[in-house]
Amino acid sequence: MARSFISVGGYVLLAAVALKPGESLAQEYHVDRSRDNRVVFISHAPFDDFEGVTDLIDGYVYWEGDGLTEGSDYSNSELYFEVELDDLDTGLRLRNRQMRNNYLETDEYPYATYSAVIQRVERTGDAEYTVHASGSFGIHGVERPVELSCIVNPDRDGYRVRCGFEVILSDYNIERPSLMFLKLSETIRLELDYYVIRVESE
Amino acid sequence: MSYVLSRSNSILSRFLLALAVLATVALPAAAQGGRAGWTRGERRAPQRVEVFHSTQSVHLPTAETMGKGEFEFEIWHRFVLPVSSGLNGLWGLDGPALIRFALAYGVSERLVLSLGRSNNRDNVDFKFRYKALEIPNENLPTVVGLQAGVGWNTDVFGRSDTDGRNFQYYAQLIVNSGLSDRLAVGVVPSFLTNIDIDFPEAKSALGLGLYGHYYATPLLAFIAEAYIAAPNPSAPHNIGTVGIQLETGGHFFKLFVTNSSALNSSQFLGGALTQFTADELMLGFNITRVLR
Repeated sequence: MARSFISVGGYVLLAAVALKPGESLAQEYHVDRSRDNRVVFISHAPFDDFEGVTDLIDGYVYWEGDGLTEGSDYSNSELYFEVELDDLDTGLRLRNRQMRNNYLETDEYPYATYSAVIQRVERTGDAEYTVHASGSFGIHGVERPVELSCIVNPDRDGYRVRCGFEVILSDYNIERPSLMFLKLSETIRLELDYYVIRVESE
Repeated sequence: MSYVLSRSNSILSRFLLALAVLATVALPAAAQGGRAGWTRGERRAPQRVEVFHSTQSVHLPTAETMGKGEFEFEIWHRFVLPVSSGLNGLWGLDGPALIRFALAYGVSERLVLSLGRSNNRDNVDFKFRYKALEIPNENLPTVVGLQAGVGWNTDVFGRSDTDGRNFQYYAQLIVNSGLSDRLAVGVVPSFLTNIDIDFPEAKSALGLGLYGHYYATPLLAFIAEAYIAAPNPSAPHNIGTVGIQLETGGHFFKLFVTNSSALNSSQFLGGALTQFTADELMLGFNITRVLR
């Protein structure tokens, strides 16, 4: 009897170890690199607007619980994306090189990153959610807090994510030399449009 | 002695072990998801080898090209009056000046076509440049290019415009290397046919171009260029050029002194009329604008 009791206790212990709270319901999505992702850095300056475009975004989102639902607890969530700045194409190779080498210094700081926790999810349409996240955006070796709201639509086995926010260059120690950047705005708008796909959580 | 060695080896081993642990724990952490199974993949952005900033040194080409679909417009001036003319000639700026206009087009990321014209014998210059090879060596990044073209002198006294002796053909191998983040050098062996269009018989010749750019700041470079020309009785001197380059969002401004008033490649490669001495130096500038 005692042996059987120990045996039952062992199974319970095993189950407790194997199934950590919420783990069975973990949701994990990675950026689907095969899709038509797009990240745009937009400068609106008098007489000269230009955009820096790349599709090289990567990252993931993770939370514990069911699929995306309004009102759930996302306090244990993780949201992360990174953009390869070496690939930014402004339409002129000369300007690309100057952006990379002189100002973003991509040899030293190759990525722009955003790392956050989902704060809440709103259902804003039949197949649309607005995800509010709070975290930090990093570029040029400087990280600063950024609140982000993204429009999220179910798509295939994952979601399409669209976000936008503004970056003040001086906040990130990115200089605007008067000679080159007379036509570059102090505030750059970032717009992201990318897809994430469900993966099995480990 | 052996004790000291084994003890120091032990300390070294522990230090290396600690480094290894740090490397395996700390470094991947930046590229991995916390509880997610995501890990950072290989960087996908194309790694480029860009030794020189500009497509031209001064007279000689670099192996750089523009992007596909981009144009580059050139305006070059050489003030024929030497700097030694002083205030009377405004150090050469009173002129006259020889002028070149040209428009280049990036057919692909590696191939550029260019059409230019100089008022020196109304020389029309059509050429191509091809970036053939990029060697991303960390210590000596190198780019190799080829340039070839034809110069058509359309204003030669006593000849029709289309006389065969008015045409000059040239080819150049361009080897560019970066010696450091700030210093880039180039070697340009050059071949020119019909080096002097006034000769009764066409002669071909080899020459050697050398140049270096020192990037003092991201936007300012100091330039030196030399061209060792083939023997040419009517233009017997080698060519030297020194100056500065200012770089802005889409422009390059090159300001320099030189002993060559020739602008288009087929004329420059024939050599200089005057020596590279203080009395003979002329002011010149090149302005280029990249646009799409």
